[in-house]
Amino acid sequence: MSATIKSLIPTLITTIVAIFIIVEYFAPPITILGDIKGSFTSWAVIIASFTMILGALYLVRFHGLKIIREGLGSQEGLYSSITLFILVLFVSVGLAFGGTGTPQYNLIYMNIMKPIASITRGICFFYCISAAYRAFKLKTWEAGGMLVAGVLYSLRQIPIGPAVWAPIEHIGDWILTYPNVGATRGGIVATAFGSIIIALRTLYNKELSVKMIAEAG
Amino acid sequence: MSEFLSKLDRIDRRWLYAFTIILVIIPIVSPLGLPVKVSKPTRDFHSIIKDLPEGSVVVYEEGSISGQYDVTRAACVATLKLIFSQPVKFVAFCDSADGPVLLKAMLSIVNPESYGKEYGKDYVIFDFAPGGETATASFATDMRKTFSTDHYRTPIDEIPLMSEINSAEDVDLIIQVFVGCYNCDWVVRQWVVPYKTTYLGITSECCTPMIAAYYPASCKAYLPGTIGATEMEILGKIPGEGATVSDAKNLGLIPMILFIILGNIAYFSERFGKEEEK
Repeated sequence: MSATIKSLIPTLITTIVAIFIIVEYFAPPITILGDIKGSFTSWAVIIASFTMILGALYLVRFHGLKIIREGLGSQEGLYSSITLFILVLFVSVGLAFGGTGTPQYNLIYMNIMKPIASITRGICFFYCISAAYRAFKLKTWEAGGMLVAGVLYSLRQIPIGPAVWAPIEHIGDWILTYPNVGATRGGIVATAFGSIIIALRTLYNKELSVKMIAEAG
Repeated sequence: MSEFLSKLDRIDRRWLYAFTIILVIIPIVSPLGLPVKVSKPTRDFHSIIKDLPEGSVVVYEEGSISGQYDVTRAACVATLKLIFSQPVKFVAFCDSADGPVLLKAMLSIVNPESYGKEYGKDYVIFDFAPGGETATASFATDMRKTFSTDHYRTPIDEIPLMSEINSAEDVDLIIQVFVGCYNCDWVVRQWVVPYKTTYLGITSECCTPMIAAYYPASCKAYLPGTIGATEMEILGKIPGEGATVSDAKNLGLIPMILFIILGNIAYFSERFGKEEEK
């Protein structure tokens, strides 16, 4: 199949689906359009479920090949085997005991996954401390603005800040409500315009990323 | 003095870690109990739930992830306790893979049955719907097409609570828990704009600046992480862990600010020292 057809078919599907979704979103309520949109979005959820299966298969392929290539004795092979073991454990418990709502699944999740994820997040905090010490240097005016706003807002977010110095509450709220909201809303609007442009380029089959995927595949 | 400052600039990071650990542990062992002033978003959050008319339908979109569970749990538990103390109907679904397990863990802390609620009649839990914003849109458009069964594999048409609920048009309030900063956009775009559903958000401290941009027009109120949880606990007189976690953050953030100041003193000392040498 040529790259043109490979990119044309997904673009056609995207265009047809997008037209229905856009019309339904902006038009007055029409039952049939609502039903079509409902079907499309529920199909998207089903497709997303299949991508998770695909992701798991790729994970098995990637780490399986790594174990074969590096051997179990190597550090890389050991890490890959641990990853695969955990994947197999969670899938097996889920399948054997009837899904992710069972006490058995909850037990392994809350005692393996949750502590590991929390520790990883916790370690980030210490890296932040070290990074803040080394990187937050008042070298430019921009860095100064970031530094002052960051420190003042951080102090507002903890009870000890207003308890030690009452005005910090109003200063922190002002930073959150005015400079932050102004800048964030500007960012949201700019992103929205960018998304519209990318969407239009996709509909017209001009978006490079779609073509690149088609050519690569 | 300049030698000391120069050493300070090259301090071993392990000293910073040790100092931080000590400061985080102190308030956990011996709580500081500092006064907390309730902020306006939290007051709004509390009053919107408290003022819901009898029989209102509340949708709860759970987007917690296990790595941030300790950050959002206190706020979620305080919110769930408040919701279950009200005469409202509760429908939950998850937009994160971790959501169902974490939501069930939080519901086991809250224990809806202790508030006289019955599963299937007063509240129902749906599983994880993958697809991010598409899943949020799908649930708003047609709940039956998104999920055919609930978390316990009961067909949706056999759940009494769901007999008159199928889309965002049947919902009075949506509460979204999110820890990906742009995820609040999903509900604004898929629930608030098309259906004018009242939207409340629960998030971590780091995502607060994002949801603040939608407050109060699109997002009527929000809980900003553990400090929001503490404020909710005070406002609703709901005992919880928010105060403990906020206390730990109290002293946990102090070393970061202190090190930023010390780092700058060391930096400027070295910089001016070099200029003087020239």
